[in-house]
Amino acid sequence: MTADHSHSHDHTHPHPVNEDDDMDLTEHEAKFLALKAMLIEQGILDAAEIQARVEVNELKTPHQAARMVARAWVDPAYKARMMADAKQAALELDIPVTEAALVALENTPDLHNVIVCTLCSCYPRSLLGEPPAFYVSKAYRSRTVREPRRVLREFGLTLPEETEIRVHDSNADLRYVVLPQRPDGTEGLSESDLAALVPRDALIGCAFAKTPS
Amino acid sequence: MSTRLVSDIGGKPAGDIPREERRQLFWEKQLIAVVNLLSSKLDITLDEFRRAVEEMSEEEYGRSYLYGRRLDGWLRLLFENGTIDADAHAARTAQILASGSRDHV
Repeated sequence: MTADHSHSHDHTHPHPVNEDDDMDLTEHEAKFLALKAMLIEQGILDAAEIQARVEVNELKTPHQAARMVARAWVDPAYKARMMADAKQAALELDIPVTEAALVALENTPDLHNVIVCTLCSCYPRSLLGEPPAFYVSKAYRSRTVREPRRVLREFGLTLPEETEIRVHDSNADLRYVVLPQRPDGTEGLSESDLAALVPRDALIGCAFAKTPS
Repeated sequence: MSTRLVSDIGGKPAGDIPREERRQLFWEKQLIAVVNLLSSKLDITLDEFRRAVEEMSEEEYGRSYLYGRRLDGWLRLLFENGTIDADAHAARTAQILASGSRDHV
């Protein structure tokens, strides 16, 4: 494998640093490299716009939704707007959600919501970034709709029997984000401190918000 | 009795859910960027992509993983609509694999 630039063909496009240069080239990667080269040569895409899009995508992290959760915890009017129209509520915090529709699901002592995509890997990527490996695994997709209480127990969430569990199956036109319960002992914390208590998996329903240490 | 699509796995028996975090590889990040751009430029919808994935055989689907499915589904669409020539793509892929180098594009 080489990362140098000693090849002879003429071009002016930038080569971004490949942080995986120490890994073997796989057939999938080779198929992708071939596709990318052909798209560039045919003038359909250019390397700079691909890199620019990579950089935009890297700005999408669960912290965006954690900020929404923290705001909802401290501002009942914002929470009402988030429950009514989560996309618009995201925009209030300068978070552009590009999925067709986004619905916020509130967890309470009586109701626990958990998100899955049984058919593929639908996920609110513009809000949370790329989904975690467990979310796209066939085991999670298969089992969560059949035995959610057991799956959640495996994630360390033991819910009282009287708590209803609702599983929401995402699709191409509708994505979800969970509004977890606010932990006890967080009165008086700033929004940024509250946001730090919201892990990615709590936004899917597979974790609780953390309690302050 | 209706036939289930290969991707319709909700409710099927399955084993342990993997809990290990997996870092997105560099080419996978680029793939997502490329399909984001192509979706708008070529006006290809998520439903079209899904249809392409659903045409995988059960065996192919069973051993596939997220980014492999994305790539293969998109390639199928691009071959179908004539954006990319399948034979030329196969030749280019073989050339890259033979060289073992990523430094082609």
